[in-house]
Amino acid sequence: MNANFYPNRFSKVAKEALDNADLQNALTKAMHHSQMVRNQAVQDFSDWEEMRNAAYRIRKYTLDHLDELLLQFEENCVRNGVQVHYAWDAQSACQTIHLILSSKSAKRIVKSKSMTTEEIHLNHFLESNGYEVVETDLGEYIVQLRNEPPSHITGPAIHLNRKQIADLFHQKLQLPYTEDPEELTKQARTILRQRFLTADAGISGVNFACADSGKIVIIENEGNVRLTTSLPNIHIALCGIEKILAKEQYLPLFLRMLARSATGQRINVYTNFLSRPRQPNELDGPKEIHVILLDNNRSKMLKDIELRESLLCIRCGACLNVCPIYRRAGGHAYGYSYMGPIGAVITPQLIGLQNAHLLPYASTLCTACGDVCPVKVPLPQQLLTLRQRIAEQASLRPWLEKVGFKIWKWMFSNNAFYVLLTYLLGFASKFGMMKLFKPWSTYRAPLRRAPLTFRQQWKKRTYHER
Amino acid sequence: MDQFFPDSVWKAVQLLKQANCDVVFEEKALCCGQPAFNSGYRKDAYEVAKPLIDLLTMTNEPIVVLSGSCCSMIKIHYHELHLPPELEQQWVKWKNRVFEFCDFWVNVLQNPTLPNSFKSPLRVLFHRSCHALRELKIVSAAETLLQQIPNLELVYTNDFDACCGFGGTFAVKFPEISISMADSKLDYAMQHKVDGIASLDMSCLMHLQARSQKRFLPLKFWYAPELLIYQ
Repeated sequence: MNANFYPNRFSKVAKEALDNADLQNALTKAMHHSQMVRNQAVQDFSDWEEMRNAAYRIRKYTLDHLDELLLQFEENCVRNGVQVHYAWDAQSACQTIHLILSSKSAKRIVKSKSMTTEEIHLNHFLESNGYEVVETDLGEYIVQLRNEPPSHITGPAIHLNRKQIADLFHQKLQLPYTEDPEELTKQARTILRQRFLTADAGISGVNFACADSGKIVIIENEGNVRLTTSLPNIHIALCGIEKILAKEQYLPLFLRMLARSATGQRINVYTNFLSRPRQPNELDGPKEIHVILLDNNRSKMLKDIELRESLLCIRCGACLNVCPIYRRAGGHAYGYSYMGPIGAVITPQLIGLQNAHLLPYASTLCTACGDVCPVKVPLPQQLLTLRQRIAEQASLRPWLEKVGFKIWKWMFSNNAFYVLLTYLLGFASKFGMMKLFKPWSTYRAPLRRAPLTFRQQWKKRTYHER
Repeated sequence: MDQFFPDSVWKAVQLLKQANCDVVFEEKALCCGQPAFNSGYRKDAYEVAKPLIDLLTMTNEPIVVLSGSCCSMIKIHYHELHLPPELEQQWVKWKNRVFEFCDFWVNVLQNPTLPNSFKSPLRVLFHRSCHALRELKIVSAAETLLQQIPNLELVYTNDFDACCGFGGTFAVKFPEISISMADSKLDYAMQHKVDGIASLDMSCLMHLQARSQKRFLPLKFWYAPELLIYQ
């Protein structure tokens, strides 16, 4: 178990986040904005619901035919001159990347944003093996300078405000202090341009891998992916095996839905297609392209009939933006590379229930996430399924809760016990004992049973009516 | 509702009687099982749901449930309890006869009586509770109903129908996050000078009211149908 994974500290980190006014302000503003622009952008289509159904079916086809599609993708990559590697887990993915880089004596790496590289803790691995790694997405660069993980799937530094970034640049990079976003971006750009020009290799993630053409699609807004994938001589793309699309012709649907769901944009600024390495008559592009297809428990997830649909996810982050828990707890509370509702569903599957057993409970089951998901991952149902599995494991829930529900079951399945409950609640209300239930009454007024319950009143009244 | 809010139940009974309904209260119907189901204890939830399913199978009349989330549990989620086939068949037979009060009033009774009228204007923050809104999809029917009442003004929060933070056991598992969500609603209510908060879910209101009382806020709370006869 990697010490960097800490999903079981959810409550503690979330409480710290609630006390952090800067973070609350930044997140509230950002999430409010994200929801607003997403809702507006979706209005472009009167048939958004049908689009969701289509996207669901296409992604489901991928999951149902993943074995064939992966082979087809590999075949087409090889024909295009792209080298394909399979990695069973995080360690083998890191080792493969290490091998590719060391065989070409590549030392300086530029990276574009990728949650999958976060999942395998690639930066940490590369740095401890003597590589120099720079994140080139602005938000990702900021959190790298702060030495913290990203807090949102699409907006890594969304928990920070302008002043914190200004301080960071001033202190870490010894640059003149400015809070002007444009100036700050320019400062980062000047530094990153130099890194691009001197980089030996580029590493990126993948948004879609088209099985029928072997093309890799990566979308972005800053142009850093384009530079990462075209300037250095070597490019390595890390791709979860579920990112396959059966046909390239499905891309227009997904690009429209992904951009709108993620940032409310009609289309993202850059859509990068990687199809083959530099050809003899071409002037630029990497001389080698490697794709690493990462399993890391995904095939185990695929076998799980009740939960496999969480692999439909295209990482738009819309479920984070609508989630009132994410908005307050912040991304770091989830303790892993995926956060919000989708994180609460896939993290326990990726790293084991016992290592993330609080996450499925970090939801009110308000179902907003399920409604907003462009590919219809049944997030609320999956949270419930995970809760059931957690509750079935003796050690993962407090014994008091287990006993509590046993007593609750007796009280509410048997009239005689229910009458007893009525008297107990009446007694407790009368003598102020309801306030002893601290998790409720620390922050709320204690509940009071009515002097006569409805049942008691009903009995009396029907008696008199007779 | 039986233990903490009997008055709200009486209001609903009174309304149904005014609409010439013969109201039968099933004393043996205790709980739908949602608290255990939502916490992952499906077996315990099943034990509680089973007598209820047996009981409801015996009637051929419409079944009116007060509160959206209980109704949604009974109407939508029971098959997720992995019911034995014969019980599931029984449930399928009557599940479409289960209505939340407002759904029943608007769509079955077709708005029977003239709405109430308030003598002085009343501003009410309408909390679109999650299960009534997203699962049962009956909130707009309830709103149309309330909007007909003269002198009643509905106010909405600008938070895209966010949850109030109750979430059953969530409220006590993560109390700090839960009350932060409640406070967002209550602060908005205070800023916009409303008289109180109404909703189709008593559990949301129980949580909001308890938080409001703790903060000594001068807010009232209504289960939405109460506004039809509240003076």
